[in-house]
This record gives sequence, structure tokens and C-alpha cells, in this order.
Amino acid sequence: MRWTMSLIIGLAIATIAQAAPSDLAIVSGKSSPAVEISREQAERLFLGRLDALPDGAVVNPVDLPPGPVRDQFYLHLTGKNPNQIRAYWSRLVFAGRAVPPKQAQSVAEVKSLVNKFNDLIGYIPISDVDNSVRVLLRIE
Amino acid sequence: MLRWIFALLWIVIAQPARSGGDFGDWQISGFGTIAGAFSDDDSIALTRGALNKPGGGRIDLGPDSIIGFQLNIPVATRADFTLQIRAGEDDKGHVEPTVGWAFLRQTWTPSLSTRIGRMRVPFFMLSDSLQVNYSNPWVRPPPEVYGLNPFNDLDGVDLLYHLDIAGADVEVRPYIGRGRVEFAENGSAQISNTKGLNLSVYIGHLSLHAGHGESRFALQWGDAQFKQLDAALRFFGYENVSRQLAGRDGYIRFDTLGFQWDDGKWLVSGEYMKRRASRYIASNHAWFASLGYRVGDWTPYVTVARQFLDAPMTETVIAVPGLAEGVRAFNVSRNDAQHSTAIGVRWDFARSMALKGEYSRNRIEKDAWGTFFPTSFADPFALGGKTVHLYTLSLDWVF
Repeated sequence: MRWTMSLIIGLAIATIAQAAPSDLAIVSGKSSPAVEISREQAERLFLGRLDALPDGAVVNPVDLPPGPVRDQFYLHLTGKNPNQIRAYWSRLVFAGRAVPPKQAQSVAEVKSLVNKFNDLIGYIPISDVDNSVRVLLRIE
Repeated sequence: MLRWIFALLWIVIAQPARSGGDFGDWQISGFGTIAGAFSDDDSIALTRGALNKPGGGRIDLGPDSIIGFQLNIPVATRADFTLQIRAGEDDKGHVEPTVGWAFLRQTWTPSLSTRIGRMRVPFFMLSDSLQVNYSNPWVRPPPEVYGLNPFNDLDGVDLLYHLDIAGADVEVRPYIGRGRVEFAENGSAQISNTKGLNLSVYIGHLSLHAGHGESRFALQWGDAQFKQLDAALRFFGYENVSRQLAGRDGYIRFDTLGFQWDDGKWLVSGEYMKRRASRYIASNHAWFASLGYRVGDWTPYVTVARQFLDAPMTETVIAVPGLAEGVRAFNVSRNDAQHSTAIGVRWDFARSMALKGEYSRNRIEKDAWGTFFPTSFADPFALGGKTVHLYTLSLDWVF
């Protein structure tokens, strides 16, 4: 019985933790020309309405796989829920306007990709930020 | 057109530094709809602006079902090629692949890009994504407005310029080109010297759209009704009327104003459109207004729409009794005026898939066929004034 209770509580905690991940950060590689970006620029970059910063530096966003972190990121940055985001991108892609962000397989791959390609930026949970990446913007 | 699209594609593919190389990866995506429309009246059939063959059965998969694939190929640091192939029922009832998009885009600065090749005719607010039903709340864009432009393709050039005005993202889009379309019963139409300017403003949840397009316009009807009427008009010396019904000297203008609001809960949109044609088709104006509300994965919505006839193809008074009736019947068969109220619900039941159900009440105006075709041509005036109840179930997806 006690074992079952612990399992239920454990699952509940896991579910809550998954439903509400920690704050997120938009990051670039250490040698990236991008030093900081505004929230508005970040929104336009991740929504495919901008592909370079005012100084002309080309910036390409990279996505995490579909899941709670990605959903939370778009909800907080753009105010759009997952259904809206998908409908939004379908309109843009099939209108020949933009190509959606490339998708990394994991947070670790985001960190590795942004260091491999200077023009890439990604988003990861704050708790995963370390010396290998530069924080451009915090999304709370 | 197809030949040079494939030539362009071949050049792109034959490049030594192609996929996964310096410029990024190829991206393949797709969309589709399987939809069945059912009306309570088997003497009529729904058509998508006569671009598909009007169905004979009571449940018709033709008007809305479509499948599309799209390929995006980066060809240089700031240049890419987009190819979209789609297949839906055509005017002869066949489902054959056609090229929807095939353009080369060059991004010159962060705010300026040009595209050359095949694009969609951007006369209306939702023209670019018209057949991607997944991106819209409804089973189909309101036909009263979207039926006013029968053209799909524009072979030409456009320019997209973005500027920031007081925090609003403004897009200016001039375009030039030409296009052609084939429609039911061996008809075809061409636009040439097409030019226009679209203006879109994005402010938070709100987007506003204004557009103006104009074009030289040619049209040939292929149906028996036209051939008989044309011969009779010429026989009785009404060549001037004949020249108002078909030919190569038309001019057409489209003006549109629209808005969309989407705050995550409420989806509100509306559009007003005016079409002025010098000859060959009627002049009309139309509008729609739509309201939806998201409750989790469910989005119930209601849409009202209306199309008005401003001027028929010909208003010349015919003194020959039987002939006058023939001209009237011809005008009626090319008059799409109607109004409708649609209620429906969209269910986003899986990632990238939506199921939609819609009921619409369509009232065809007197002396019109609305967005319908009679299944028998015995009485061309029988459709006018009819009320048609239409039920549609649609499954849409993207990948």
C-alpha cells in the first residue's frame, strides 16, 4: 500500500514537473556574433518573420522536439498554444513564406549545434545552462 | 511552364554542393484533406468555383479533398527553391498532380526578398494558403468571397519588403505575372499583365490586410449552352453581345480589405472583396465574418458570408424573345450570388491533425446558381431562390 502511494505521489510530482518546466533561456554558442536579442526580435525569429539581426547577422533558430518544453517556450514567448503554433506554421510553410526551425533531438544537441554553427540559436531550460553556451534572453 | 520548372529543379539538384552541405538541408513537408460534402438536395452539386467537376452522388469527395507535397531546397547562403506539387479533383473529374509553387527566393537583406517562378495569385487575404485547410478553422474558406477569384497560379515575380512602423510589422508586396486556369466543361481563362500590391500589418494578435490587383483577362467557355447561344447571337446580329461573353479583351480588378484576430482563445476574421470585370464574367462584391472560440482542443465557430451581383456579364436588351431568354439563362448560370451561415467545430485530436464538421445553410439568390451546379440542365432558373443545407466532414493534416 505504502509502495503504491509513493508511486502515485511520485507520478504526480513527475507530471507536475513535466507540465511546468523551469524557466527557459535562448542561447547561442560562445563564439556566436549574437550577444543579446530583445524579446520582440526573439519572437519574430522563432516565428519565421525575421532571419537576421539589425546589424545584418543571419540568425537561424533551432527547435527542441515536440513536448512540454517546446510548448512552454512558444506559449511564453509568442502567446500561442501548440495547436495555434502548428496552424500558424502550416500557413507560413505552405504559403512559401518560411521554413520552420530545424529540430534538435535533445537539449544536449542544441548546446552542441549552437557551438558548431555560429548562426544558430536555441532554447533550453535555465537549469541546463552551463559554460558551453551564452544566454541571449531569459524567457520566464 | 512545367518544362522550365523541371529544368530549374534539375539545375538545383545537379549542383555539386547540395543537401546537408554549406547551405542547409532539404525540407520535405506536406498537407492534405479528405472531406465529404453532403447536401439534402440531389438536384444540385457543390463546386469549388467550377474548378472541379461537380459531383453526381449525394456525398461528394471532390470539392474539398486535396493532397500536397512541398520541397524546400537551399541553393545558396540566402537563396532557396520551393516546389509544391498538389493534387485535387480537376474540372474533368481527374486527380492529377499540378505544380502549385515553384519559385526561387533570394533574400537580399533581412527585410527584403524577391521570388521568381510560380506562385499563387495573391488577390485575397488567405490566397497563399487557400487549400491548406489545416491552417484555417473552417472546412473551406467562405466560397462567397473565395469563389470570386478562379485563378490559382501566378507565373511571375514578387517582392516582399518588411518594415517596422511603431512596433507594427508591415509587409509590402508588389507582384507582376500571368496565369491560366481550366474549369468545368472545357472552359479556360487567362490573366496576363497582372500586377498588384498587397499590404499586411501585424500588431500583436491582430493582422490587417489590404490588396489591389488588376489584369488583362481572356476567357473561353466550352459548354454547349454557350456555343448554342453564341451561334444564335451572331445569327441575329448581336455580335456585340457575343463579344461581352467571351474573348481576349477583358480587364479585371480585385480589391480586398480584411482582418484576423487570434489571441489564443478567440478567432475572429472578416474580409470584404470587390471584383470588377469589364466583360466575360460578372462584377460582384462579397464579404464574410467569422467567429471562433477555442476550448482546449475544440474550436466551435460560426461564419456568415454573402456575395452580391453588381453587374451581370451583359445588360444589353435583346429584342428577339427566345434569344433574350437564352442570354438571361446564361447570365443566371454565371451568377454565384448567395448568402450562407455556417456553424461548425474543429477538433485538434492529434498533433498536426484536425477533424472538422460543418453545417451550412446556403440561400442562392434569385437569378443565380450560387456555388452550386444543377445535376440536370432542364431548367436553368430552378436553382435561383433555393435554400441548400450542406453538411461537410473533413479530416485535415500537415506533416
